[in-house]
Amino acid sequence: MYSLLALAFAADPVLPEVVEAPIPIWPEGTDQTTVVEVTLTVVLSPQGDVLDVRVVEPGNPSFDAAAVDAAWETLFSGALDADGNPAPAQITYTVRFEPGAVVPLGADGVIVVEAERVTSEVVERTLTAEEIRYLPGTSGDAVKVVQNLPGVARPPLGTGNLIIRGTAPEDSLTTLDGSPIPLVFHFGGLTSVVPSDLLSEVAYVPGNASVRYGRTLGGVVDLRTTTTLPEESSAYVSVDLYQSAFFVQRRLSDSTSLTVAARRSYIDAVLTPFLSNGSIRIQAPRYYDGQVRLVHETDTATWDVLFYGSDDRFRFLGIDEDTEEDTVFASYADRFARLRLRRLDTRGPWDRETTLAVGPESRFFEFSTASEAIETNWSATFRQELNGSLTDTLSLRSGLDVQAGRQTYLFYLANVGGRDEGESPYFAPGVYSELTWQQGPTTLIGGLRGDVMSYGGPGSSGSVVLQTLDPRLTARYAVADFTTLKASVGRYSAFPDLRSIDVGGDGNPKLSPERSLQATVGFEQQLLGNLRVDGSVFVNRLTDQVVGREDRLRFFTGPPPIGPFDTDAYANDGVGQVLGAELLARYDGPSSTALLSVTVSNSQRQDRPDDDVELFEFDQPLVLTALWSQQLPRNWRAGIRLRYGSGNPYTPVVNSYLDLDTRTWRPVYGERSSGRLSPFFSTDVRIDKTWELRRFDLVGYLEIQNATFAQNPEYMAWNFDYSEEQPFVSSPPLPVFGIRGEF
Amino acid sequence: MTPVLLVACVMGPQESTLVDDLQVVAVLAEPPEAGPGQSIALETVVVDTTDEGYDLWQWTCLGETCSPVEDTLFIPPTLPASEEPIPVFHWTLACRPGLCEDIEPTQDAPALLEDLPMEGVSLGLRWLGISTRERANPTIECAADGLCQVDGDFSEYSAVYPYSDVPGWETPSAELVPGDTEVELSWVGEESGTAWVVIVDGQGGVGLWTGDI
Repeated sequence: MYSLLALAFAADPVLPEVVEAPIPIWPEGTDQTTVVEVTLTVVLSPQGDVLDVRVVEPGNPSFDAAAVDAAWETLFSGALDADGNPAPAQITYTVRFEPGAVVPLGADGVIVVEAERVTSEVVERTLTAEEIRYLPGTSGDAVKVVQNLPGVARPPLGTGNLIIRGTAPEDSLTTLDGSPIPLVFHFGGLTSVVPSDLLSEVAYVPGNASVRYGRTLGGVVDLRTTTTLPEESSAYVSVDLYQSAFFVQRRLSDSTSLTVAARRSYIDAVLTPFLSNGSIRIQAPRYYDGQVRLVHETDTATWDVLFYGSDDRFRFLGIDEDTEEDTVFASYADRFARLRLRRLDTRGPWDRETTLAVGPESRFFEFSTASEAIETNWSATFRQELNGSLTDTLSLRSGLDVQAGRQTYLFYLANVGGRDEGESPYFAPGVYSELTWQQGPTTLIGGLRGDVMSYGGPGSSGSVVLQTLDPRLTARYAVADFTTLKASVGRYSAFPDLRSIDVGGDGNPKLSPERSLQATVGFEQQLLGNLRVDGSVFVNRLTDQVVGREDRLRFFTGPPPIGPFDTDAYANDGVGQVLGAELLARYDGPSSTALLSVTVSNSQRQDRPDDDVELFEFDQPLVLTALWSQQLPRNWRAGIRLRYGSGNPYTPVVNSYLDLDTRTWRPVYGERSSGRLSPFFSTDVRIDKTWELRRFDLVGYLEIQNATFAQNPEYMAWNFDYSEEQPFVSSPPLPVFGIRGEF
Repeated sequence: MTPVLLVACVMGPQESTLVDDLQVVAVLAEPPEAGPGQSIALETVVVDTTDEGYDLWQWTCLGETCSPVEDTLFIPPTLPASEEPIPVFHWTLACRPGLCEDIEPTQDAPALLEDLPMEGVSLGLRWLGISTRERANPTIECAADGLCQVDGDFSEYSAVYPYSDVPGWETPSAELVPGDTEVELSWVGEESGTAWVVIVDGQGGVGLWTGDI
């Protein structure tokens, strides 16, 4: 994502030089017979002041801290650009600790000058794989870590749902290198299906995403794999309370590497004997996932073949009294497999990225012997993107983004009756193009994205074709060396799902795409060298939202759906508006990372024209996260996360009546969204310790979420006749201890 | 999901089976469905454990037309005859004296409750059918130990629901399948009282057993 403008300098720039460098101190209590290398990135001001130091390739925590400390004490000369003007710079070098000597900073360094980071996004926040691993509260999960950032509301029950800038979880997009992931989390939130170690960074775009991303009304989380071969082979084996995992990355030759990784949970093995009782046997939730990746570099391109897949399942079994055979009371399975081929060509004047991914996915739920819910999708995605400079000030990014496949669904609930099923092929081509003009402190990015969705064809009951055209514009202005103002406005669209539009069922084939008009205005400010602040105000105007048929049986993640339900036919009647502001302050010190994120927002919806305007079900006016992680002597690291969030709105029940045929109590609801749950507060702590052994490093960690056992209401529930509110509260603290051997 | 399921395994007297105020427990219809020109005999079972007395309103709604009803529902002969049941909504509202005023039959009966207290007010809904089918209600007879003899067509979702005026039913409900002739309900109460056991066949048929337990 760094621009390549540095390579386009007309004349050689003057690079920063080390004026005076202290000798790093060999860490106390460490093995002095091994060789350790630590690679750092140091960001310098035009005057040569150190603004930021980050570990790019760690040695181990003690050596990392020693190298970082020394970097902050180093004096550099300022860099000059090709025109002879002072310029900010970023240098990369390796510190080598070897028996009897420490090579000073810069001695073997590779120094590059890069221009300011240029991104198409008005707000894009990235977290590196190293940060993900140590930040407290998310157990090193690549997607959950995003919940620490501004714009994200806290989901109930600790699920992985991303509620970004007041939009529903299904309105946001999670991708792997730009292509959608079929399933983001095991069991809705236990852990993400792509392990963090396969990633180089996680990019989070809370709104006003560039034209690269389409078919979404909310935010985007892009999991990014490395695009280069690993420096050396590595491996680890890890064991914790929930799962075991292994990861092997081998350099097969100078141009080829192979990565194999897998995880298997064993909650089932632990819990099944305790939960099973006589005639009932419960196979507790268990999941697998696995990844195989082959990366090969040629003279012209990098080829990347990735196979990844996941399998979640739980079952309740019993004995049929008549046949005395096993019978399934309830069963759930969610699985997918993907084969992805990716070609990266960054060696020519134009960067070219081509990705093809194919594979099946399915979800299945069976209750008793008669009720069932099944969704399947055989899909293929194809992306190709070209990115390069047209002139010194003008660059172009254009791409093709195609999705195609065949979906089926079947929902049948025995007590209610009525079989809801359908199937259809679909074809969704999308094209986008974006022009970036950069002149001095000003950057303007204009883009246009067009998408088509076609449902229907062989085996389906009708056909529907929808199309969208979404213009987007972003501007950035560098007021001073470390201050940037930015703004963006754009239109976004998403297509109704097959079930709501299916003419064969009780869908509405006249549905049109859902729309969103988003705007963001903000700033970025570098303070005191290693403290950065960025803030934004945003608005998201939602129109043509598909509403209706909330009584249908469907898959969901999180608390059970709570009424009142809109049972009328599907229609594009819904509108909504989200207003908010967010602030992120981030400190990256020599041995510590601190983060403060604040979001204030108001999110409203109106489902039907005659309905009252009400609060969005996850409207949280204030969300605050403070996080701190500190490297300590003797390879210890400690972290703490404090979270506060407003409670979600809910609709209170004012009375109830008895259905004398089904013998169930029916609620009588009061004013919609007029109740609000108590605020949420949580303290999460994490401690890591690394032991350097002769043949490998052993890392142990302990993480406790909600360490103070705050009784946070997760969602509102009622007793059997709705006469008492009985909010479901968060679970007690569960210490998670894990160990990891790194080779 | 697992914690919720674990909670459900905790045993003891079920709160949902205890009637300790004013409650419409059942509306029995004989026959459960009738054709045009015929009538259905209605028996409303209201339990008042406080003996404070109550006022009772009952009405039926066919389409948007609602009218008061007492112990017999007459099916207008002008309605079309069909085997496929046409639903008639039967509402029963019981209120402590003075709590409910100016009650008019309405198809949106739950809206009446928006301004009424939960205590001392009970609303029940039954679906009756207008059809030419000949259907019978399921029957149930129970002994004091909770063993009940049942009879009926249990091809649709069918179940038994026990209630009592003292805590003690450990079984909130018991599902019936075709061929069932008896069902055992677990009683763990320490006091004796009155029990009402309702049986439903999922096709509009309802039966009731009342006795001491």
